[in-house]
Amino acid sequence: MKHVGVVCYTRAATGPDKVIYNSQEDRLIELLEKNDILPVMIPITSLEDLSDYLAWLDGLVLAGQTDVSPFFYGEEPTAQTGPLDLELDQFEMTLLRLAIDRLPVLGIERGAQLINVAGGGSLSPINSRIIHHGEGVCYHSLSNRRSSFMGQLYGARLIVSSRHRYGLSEIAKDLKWSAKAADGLIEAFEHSTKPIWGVQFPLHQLSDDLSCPLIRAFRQRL
Amino acid sequence: MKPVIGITASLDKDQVINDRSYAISVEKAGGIPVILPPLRGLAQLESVLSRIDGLILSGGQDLSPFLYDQEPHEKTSPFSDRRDAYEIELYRLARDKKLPVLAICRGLQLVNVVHGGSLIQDIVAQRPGSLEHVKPNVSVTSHRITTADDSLMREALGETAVINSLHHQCIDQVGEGLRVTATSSDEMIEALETDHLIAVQFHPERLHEQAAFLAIFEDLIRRAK
Repeated sequence: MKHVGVVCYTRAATGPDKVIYNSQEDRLIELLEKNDILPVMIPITSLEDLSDYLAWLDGLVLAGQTDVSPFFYGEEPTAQTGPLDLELDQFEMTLLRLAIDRLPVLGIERGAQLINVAGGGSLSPINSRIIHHGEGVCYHSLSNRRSSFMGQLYGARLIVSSRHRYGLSEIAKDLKWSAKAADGLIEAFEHSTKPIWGVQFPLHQLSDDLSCPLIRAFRQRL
Repeated sequence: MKPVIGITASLDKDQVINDRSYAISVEKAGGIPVILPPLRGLAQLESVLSRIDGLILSGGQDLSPFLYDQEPHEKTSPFSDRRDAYEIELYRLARDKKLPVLAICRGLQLVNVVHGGSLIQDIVAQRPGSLEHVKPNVSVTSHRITTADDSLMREALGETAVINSLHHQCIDQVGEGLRVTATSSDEMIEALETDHLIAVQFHPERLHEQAAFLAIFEDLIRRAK
């Protein structure tokens, strides 16, 4: 059985003692388990033992919705930037840089943005006729590149839900785009030589019919 | 490599959550913390346990009273059959393997039930005259406990200690094979031990800045090596 680490995000609760939780979406856990992967959540710790985590795991999933601090790609936050979590950024970025040469990595939403930034790419706030973020659930279509994992799994076109304020601006040099929205924004990519994939859309919010094939493809590379 | 300690987690609507203090305490005590989300299937738990060196059964919601043959009391909070089933099986397998276990709050109650014991479903309603065991701020200490001779509790905390407290249920009948190693002045059971288990009703993870409470985690790490 393959063990995949899913990095937690932190969530502060109210109450007199202000508990902070290491958290992850249950649906993502369900989806991994459903496809014969054992999900283990990686808490945010100091940066000392990160190599040990990687030695212990067969693959890594980065997910979440917090914006990546623009400082990591040489920009400043704007009025559109959501609340930042610098500690989480530092932890995930350090873990990811170590993981890139050692483990298969799947980045979902924030996770995809981290992979792009770790590879030297950049992000920018979205200003588009296509709605990528709204109050309720919003959807848009993707055009998949035929030769990419997206094209192979989903054919030419896929409708996805969307909930991101930032998008890829420059793609990292070792990454190739795999799907784009109708405004040209890159919504999925893959590494040119390594088992590393990124999807900007919330994969785990899709139905099983649509989400399971990608998770199974990931599992085959573990 | 340092010992890897698996920490069970809570369900909160559509999220899996675990108070950060657990991972921080494990790391501070010299272990590598990983969080084990409650799986829906139990077939792979051997595989989960094969990769960890020690297990923490964490705090959280009430256990299903049906597990100890009672109907729910009106004060019993909503319970999760999924989490109950997952943690019970995890503990059973860990016990068979003699894997070191630290059980905290709900964890202590779960272990007691697996060993055939029972719980009081609401201290205020069913055991009037007890100390106040539900302190909303669990980062501050609340009442005193006395530890038993020759126990790991005695080793970590000394003869007596002032602990924190956040539980509205408690142990009634002690399960088979469990030794009571700490009690409070109202005769509340505050700790249980076996040769591979320490179970505490209080929250050492929220007091890890005090050496005595961190020692409970250090003991787990030492046994996990």
